[in-house]
Amino acid sequence: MKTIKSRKITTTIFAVLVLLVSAPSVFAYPPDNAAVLYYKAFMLYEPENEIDLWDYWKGNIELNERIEEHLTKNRRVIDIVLNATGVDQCDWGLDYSQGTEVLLPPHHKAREIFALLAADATMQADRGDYRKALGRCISIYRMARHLNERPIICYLVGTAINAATHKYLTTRFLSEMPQDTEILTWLRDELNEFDKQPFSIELVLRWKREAGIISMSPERISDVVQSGLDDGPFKEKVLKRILAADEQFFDRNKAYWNKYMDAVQTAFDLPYPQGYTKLKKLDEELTKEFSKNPDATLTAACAPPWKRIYVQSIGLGTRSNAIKTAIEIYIIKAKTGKLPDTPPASLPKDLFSGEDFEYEKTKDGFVLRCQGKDLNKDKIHQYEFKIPK
Amino acid sequence: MSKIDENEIRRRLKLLSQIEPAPEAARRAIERVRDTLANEEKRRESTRMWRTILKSPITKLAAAAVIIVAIGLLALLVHRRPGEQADTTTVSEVTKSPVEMMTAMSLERAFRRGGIEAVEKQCKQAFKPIGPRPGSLSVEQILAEFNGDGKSSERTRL
Repeated sequence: MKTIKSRKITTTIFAVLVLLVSAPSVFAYPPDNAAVLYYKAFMLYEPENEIDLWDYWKGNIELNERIEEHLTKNRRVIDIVLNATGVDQCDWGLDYSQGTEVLLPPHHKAREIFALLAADATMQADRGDYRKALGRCISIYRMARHLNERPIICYLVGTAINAATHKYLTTRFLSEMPQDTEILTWLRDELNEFDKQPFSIELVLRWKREAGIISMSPERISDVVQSGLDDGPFKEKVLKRILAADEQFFDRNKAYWNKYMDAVQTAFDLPYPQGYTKLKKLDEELTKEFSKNPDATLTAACAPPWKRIYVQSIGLGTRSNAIKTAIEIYIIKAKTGKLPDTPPASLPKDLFSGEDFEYEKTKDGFVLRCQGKDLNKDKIHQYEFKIPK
Repeated sequence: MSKIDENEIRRRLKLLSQIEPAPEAARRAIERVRDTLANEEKRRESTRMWRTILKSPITKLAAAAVIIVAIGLLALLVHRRPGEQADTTTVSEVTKSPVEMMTAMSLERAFRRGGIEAVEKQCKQAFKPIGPRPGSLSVEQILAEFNGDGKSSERTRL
């Protein structure tokens, strides 16, 4: 009798303990997967055509009542996204076993949400709250990192968001705000945090190789070619070769793809001028190979425009480094009251040349100039930063 | 225009169907027959026109020039790889399902064509069938939807 009673008590205590332990996780908010919140925000946010947020955050128009109203109306959406950016894990639920036929998240919604956050950041800056405005920039950078999934398109959407934030928000806010050591140091630390898990092309390169192999199978290749190539003689030629293919055709094409991807990965690791030249050569070689070598067929069909992607990744990395360098210079200005004659040592480099940025003081601020040319645009990039009077 | 008169058409229809057609049905059938015969006439006229063109030496030269230019353009296209595809929308996205339009490969193709803006456009296109959302929705409409007796033209996607 005693044993039965004690068993009942033990069971009850155990049940209560289980409830107590699981209750916080049941009601926990935010969830431990940021993607859930992004998807929620994507569903809830409906941009209004007549309100041009893009013109506002790009600095083409002033803040007006309609924009303010729109931001107020969507405050909860903004909060959901801000909560999402605070979550470490982000799993978009992509089925990578589908190879290049994996279905991607609605990226146009990510860009709309970005415009909403960018407009909110600009409004905070217009109201003089630069801490909050730069906080929004950090959140946008986190969102871009969350978007940095394995497929190339995810990386490119993240790149576009990061590049726009660098150019139109962070640079502008740094140029307009009064130098405040505390805010600048906080911003520097936040940006340095990203180095632990940087926005990167590495994941994309690795996965593209795997995805290509998955797609180069007799069962999948037809769909891949149908969806990946525009109608025309090139597509017809590829399909013709696939129709006539035997098993060896696929094996030989996979081997060619692996060799090609080895060369691409090597090129991405090279310093910019060599990397660019190598990718350009690879592209030209592949075009020639396709016409005479059937083993190059599927590589020609699946290869993305690597040179273009490479240039974008170098451009983004260089601008990020320019911002980090500028923050160090602003910190010196905040501490000493004047711009330094030379920038401090061991700052992030210009990736076009692998050298330090050329630093020049101007009448209303300073310029950081690349020492290497962007070979794609045949141009030397420079980044202007202003000092408010 | 057709030389066969209305009575003859009516007679043949009667023969074919073995029934006396209703006046309205007969009128529609006569119209259809006339349309078909008129198209046949047009085709014949078009053939006559081509014959005239091919007889003239100037038009012959012009036609040859057009063919040479077309072959040249085709040769250029043949040597294009996907990365170099022209900025064109030769494949109509409308004919593709949203699922086909949202694959990594399909979006990569859009990127090659027009950069990140083209990717955004394609995503929007893919998600279009979901919208537009109703401005307002009454309880009656919702109940009608659930009961399945809402008029198809008034149906609102939930």
